[in-house]
Amino acid sequence: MTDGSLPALYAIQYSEFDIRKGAYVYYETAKTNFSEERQFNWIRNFVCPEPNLKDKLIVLTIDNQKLLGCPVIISDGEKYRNNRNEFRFNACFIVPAQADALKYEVAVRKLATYLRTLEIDSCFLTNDILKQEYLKPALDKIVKQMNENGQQCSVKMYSSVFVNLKLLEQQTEPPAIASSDVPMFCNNIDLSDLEQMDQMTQRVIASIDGLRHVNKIAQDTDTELALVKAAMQNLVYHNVIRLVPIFSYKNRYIVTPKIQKLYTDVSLQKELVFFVVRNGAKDCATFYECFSMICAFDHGSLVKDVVNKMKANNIDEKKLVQYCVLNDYLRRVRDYRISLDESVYINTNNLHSNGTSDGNDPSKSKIKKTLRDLCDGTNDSDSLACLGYIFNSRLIPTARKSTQQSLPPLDSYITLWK
Amino acid sequence: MDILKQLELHEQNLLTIIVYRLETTLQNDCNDSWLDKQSSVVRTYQEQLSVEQNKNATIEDEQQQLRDTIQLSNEQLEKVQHTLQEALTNNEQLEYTISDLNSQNNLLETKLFETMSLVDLRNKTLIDYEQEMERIKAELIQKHKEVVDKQSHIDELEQIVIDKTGEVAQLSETLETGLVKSHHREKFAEDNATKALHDIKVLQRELRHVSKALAEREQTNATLNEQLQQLTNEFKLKQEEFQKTQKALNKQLSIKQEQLVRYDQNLHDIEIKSKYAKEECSIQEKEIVRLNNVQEEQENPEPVSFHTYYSIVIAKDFDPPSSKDEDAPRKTFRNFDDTTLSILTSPNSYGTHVEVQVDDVVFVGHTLSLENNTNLKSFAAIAKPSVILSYQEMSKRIGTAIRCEEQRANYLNEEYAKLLAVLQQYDIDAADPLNRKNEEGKAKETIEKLYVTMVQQSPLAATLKQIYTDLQASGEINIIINNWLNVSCCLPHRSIALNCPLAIDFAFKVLSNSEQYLKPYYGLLLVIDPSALLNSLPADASSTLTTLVRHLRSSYSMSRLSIETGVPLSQIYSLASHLLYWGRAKIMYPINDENIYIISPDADISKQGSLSKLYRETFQNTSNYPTLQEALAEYSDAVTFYDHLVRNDNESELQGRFQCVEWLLRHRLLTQLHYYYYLLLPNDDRNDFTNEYKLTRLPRTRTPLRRNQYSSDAVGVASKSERFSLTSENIDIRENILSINGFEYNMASSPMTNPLSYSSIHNSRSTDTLKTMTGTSHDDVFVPGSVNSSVVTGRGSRQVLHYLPHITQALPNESTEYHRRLAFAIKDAKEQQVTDFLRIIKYLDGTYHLEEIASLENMTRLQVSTIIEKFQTIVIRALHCDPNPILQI
Repeated sequence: MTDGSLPALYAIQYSEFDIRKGAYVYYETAKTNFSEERQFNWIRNFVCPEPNLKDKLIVLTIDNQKLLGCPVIISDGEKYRNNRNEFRFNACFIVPAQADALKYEVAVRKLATYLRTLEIDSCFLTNDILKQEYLKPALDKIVKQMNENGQQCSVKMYSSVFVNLKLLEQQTEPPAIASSDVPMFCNNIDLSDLEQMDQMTQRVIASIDGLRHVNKIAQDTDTELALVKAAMQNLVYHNVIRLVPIFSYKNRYIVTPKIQKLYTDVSLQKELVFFVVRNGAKDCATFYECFSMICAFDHGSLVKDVVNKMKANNIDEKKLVQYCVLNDYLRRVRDYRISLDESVYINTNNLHSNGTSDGNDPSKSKIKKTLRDLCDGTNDSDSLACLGYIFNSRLIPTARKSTQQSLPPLDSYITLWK
Repeated sequence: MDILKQLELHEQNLLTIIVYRLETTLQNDCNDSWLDKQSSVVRTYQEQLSVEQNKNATIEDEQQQLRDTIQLSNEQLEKVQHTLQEALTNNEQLEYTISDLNSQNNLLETKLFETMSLVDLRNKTLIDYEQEMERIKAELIQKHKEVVDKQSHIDELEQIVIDKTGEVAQLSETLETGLVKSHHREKFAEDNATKALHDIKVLQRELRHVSKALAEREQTNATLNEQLQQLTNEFKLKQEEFQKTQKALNKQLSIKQEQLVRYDQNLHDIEIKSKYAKEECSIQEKEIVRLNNVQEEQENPEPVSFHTYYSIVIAKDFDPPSSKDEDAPRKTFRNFDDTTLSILTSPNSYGTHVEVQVDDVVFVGHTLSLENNTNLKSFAAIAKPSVILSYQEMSKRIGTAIRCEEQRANYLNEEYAKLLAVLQQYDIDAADPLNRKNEEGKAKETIEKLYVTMVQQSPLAATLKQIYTDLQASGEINIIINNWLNVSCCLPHRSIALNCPLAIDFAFKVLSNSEQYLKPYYGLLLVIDPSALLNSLPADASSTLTTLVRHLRSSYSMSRLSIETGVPLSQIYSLASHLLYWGRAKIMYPINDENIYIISPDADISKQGSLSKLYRETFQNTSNYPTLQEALAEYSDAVTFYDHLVRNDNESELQGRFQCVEWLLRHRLLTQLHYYYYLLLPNDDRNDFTNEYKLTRLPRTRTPLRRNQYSSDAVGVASKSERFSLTSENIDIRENILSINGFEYNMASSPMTNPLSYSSIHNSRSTDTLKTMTGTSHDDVFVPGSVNSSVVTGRGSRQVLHYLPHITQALPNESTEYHRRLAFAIKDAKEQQVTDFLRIIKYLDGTYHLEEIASLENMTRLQVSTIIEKFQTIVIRALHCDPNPILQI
């Protein structure tokens, strides 16, 4: 989250508690808002606090700078006999106020742990010579490397101790993978990265072509579905793939406001035009063709209608649709079948008893029941298809008028497109 | 001969001369010596005579020679005569041949005449043909003119039709607006009627209830009277008992007095203990300010003003926010002791926001200085930055209000004293050795009890507690501090809809600056009942807000509201954003028959969902569909709202449907789609990647080959244009006519959009070339720029040049090449259409929807769509929702 020109890290401030002076700044790599005497007097209590705040991440914000610290208190009656039997120190990071504090937490805590271990093992922090000779340059180096590498650093602190720190971007939890999702690569992937991946992923990744859905990939690679899903989730987390809906000529799509960006950005247009070329076509299609084809998706038209209407020979409609969905130019309009059986509203148990009493063939009625249960507005046709239920497209019931509602047919469904 | 005569003459002359001389000499000799002399003279004379004789002989010789030569020449003459005669014969022969030739010549001449006459005949027919051609041409021109006239007539008719349709549209719109207005009036009246009916029913019911209650009261009165008499009896009995016990107590009293003496002895010890307790008290007093702030977290069984992110998530399910004691941050917070809290909440400077985070708890506050007293409000929260900001704002407000009260009525000090008293009491209780013996578990209860008493004793504590519970329940507070100052504020992230697709931070940003997102053509839709809203307003609320709420209709745009209420638009904006901030209203496009609604992609349509239940409760006894799913099924296809309405012509059903749509919109189940327009030229070379594509796709080795082919392509193009020029030279004979024709054709064809219609009239090659040229602009296939530019400089340049400045004016940011292509693309349309088109061309970049264009240019939707329809080839229409984030809140 280095916002443009802002550095990742302004400075590191190392402070200690001295029985005579109280908390004081021993060394800081650069002057900050927190270095001034007046300000430090206020934050003193946070930097080297009472034991109840030790090992807690403390974040303070003043103006446009943020101080992150993790106070450490080492109690040792023998070693610190002259220092109230304990030694308090804190190595604080000072970062831009806009930055996300959680990103730095791991690094701050890790640095504190390193220093603590060094102090316990070799009195690194209580020995002035060592501190002077090693700590100061090490802290300088950490700040420098952090800002240069952006996110990480590896600095030799003392003798053979290397400090490796990395800032972790907060990633949202990857979504659950549905069997009907189709994985698609976001960018060109580097094949050398592939070797570092686990066996499972290597096996699965070859089947990703933007058309096969997860269930099919599991079948094709002869892998367990749950494992494929886990691998996919991992890949989504690392931003290698993104999930799009299954392509079908019966699908409906609608344009999103994002095509405005496509309209203005020539590099995006170029990418699109190069991507959608049909295999074996001699020439690439013009952007005009592609754009008018994208705009032809108007919520009501099926893919096959659009293809028939446009007759663009050089455009592979599969590629076009999947690419546009991947880049959010198009949004899939999903269809949800909803059974109109009133009993679902009243009592699901009631339905079960009805079903068993009416149905002569128990297995058949069971399927019907489950299907009816599934059609409650939470499952779209893709997920139903993955479960084994496929609707005949001609049996789409239209919205019935209010006069007909007195006698609903036993198994009637309505379709909602959203 | 003459010479001979001359010679004879000469001899005679000589003889005479000699004779004379001799005579003379003889005369002379006659004297004495003359004879001698005479003899010598005679001798000389004789000699001379011989000489003369010699001479005579030579002359004779010469004479002879001359005769010979004469003879010779005569012979020669004869010869010449002979040759002459030969020549003559030759001549005769030649004459014969000449005559022959002459005769032949005559023959030829006759033949020549014959052919000449033939040629004349041919010429005559040729001339006839030419005349005929001229006539046909004239006829053609005549016909062409007729066609042009007819075309213009058709155009006029078209124009009339367009005008008529415009009028019809306007009329229908006025009709519609009238209808809608009348609907509204009726709806309003009906609303009032139903409300009145409802009120009457309610009143009747209440009346019945009251009468029932009255009867019950009477009954209870009677029973109470009976009970009273019983009680008085009992009382008498008790009094007797009391007297008995009094006697017994008197005895006990004497015993107690003895005990009292013993207690007096213990008093000294207790005094020492109380001193100790007082010290503790003073410590506690120091922390009281901070405890004030913190007490809300601890004062009730479910303490802590944790607006954790979790509670927000929970609230999303319409469930009351339940607090989980096991939340990690809550634990952290509970583990803090008073000292830590006092450190954490001690201010560093006054008048600033304070934000301190420890692990996963954030203390947010705003410090204010007050006569050496500090007031710091603190909340603990785990939240996003925007939420922290709103907490800070809220804490500032509450703090300011408390400060005002302090300055006005010394409020804080009083409350401080009250709380101190309670705490002291608590400390004394705690210091009491009897209480100390209590178990640990009871200590907690006493703390809770302490907070309960604090709330009872101190209005400030009660207010703080109220703030806490309100915030947890609804995210907004509306309290009166010290019965005097009204403080109301809300956490906007709680008023953001549950299924809002925006990130909370972004939504907060939009909410805080909502006025800049508002457009005059947007409408307002109240999320709650207007009467409920009016009741909830504080007494000193702005009267304009009341007016606005009363006039609000879902089919009114804000500009119309401004006209209806007489409130300036800017004020409407600020009121609307205020309502939005408080989650009382929603911004949307006014409900209109032309609107296209679809089911919103994140709508909850499940049967078990809370909205489904709510729908059934709301529309139980109306004409609408019984289930939410069926109601939504109407909007499964993107058709105009008008198409739904047509099915029902019944007024009440229409009304119900309107209510249903409002309900669905209010709960964000529907999204509106709009038409957006993108101006895109098929031959714009900025997004032509063919060359690049070829370069990237072909292997390296083949690239030069391809380049060759490419150059040959270019050659082909060149030769093509050459061919065009050649064809124009080929028809050089009729150059003048054609050029005039071409010019006329230019003028005539300009209103025609279809190039095929005139190609049948003119079948010459020039029209063919023109057709291919105009065809390029309609063709999907990309045309190389060179050809195109040559075309522009050629025909049609008049219009292009005419439109260019307008286009440049309308689209100043585009390149001139683009302007030229655009001008070429639109040059075939009518002048008026192009003028209209150029007027709206700046909106065709996909950021304005149809309604917005119409509103900005003060046209109707139909007018705009008619204009754009003419330029279908270069304007692509897309249907999607309005990306303005304010509509999604």
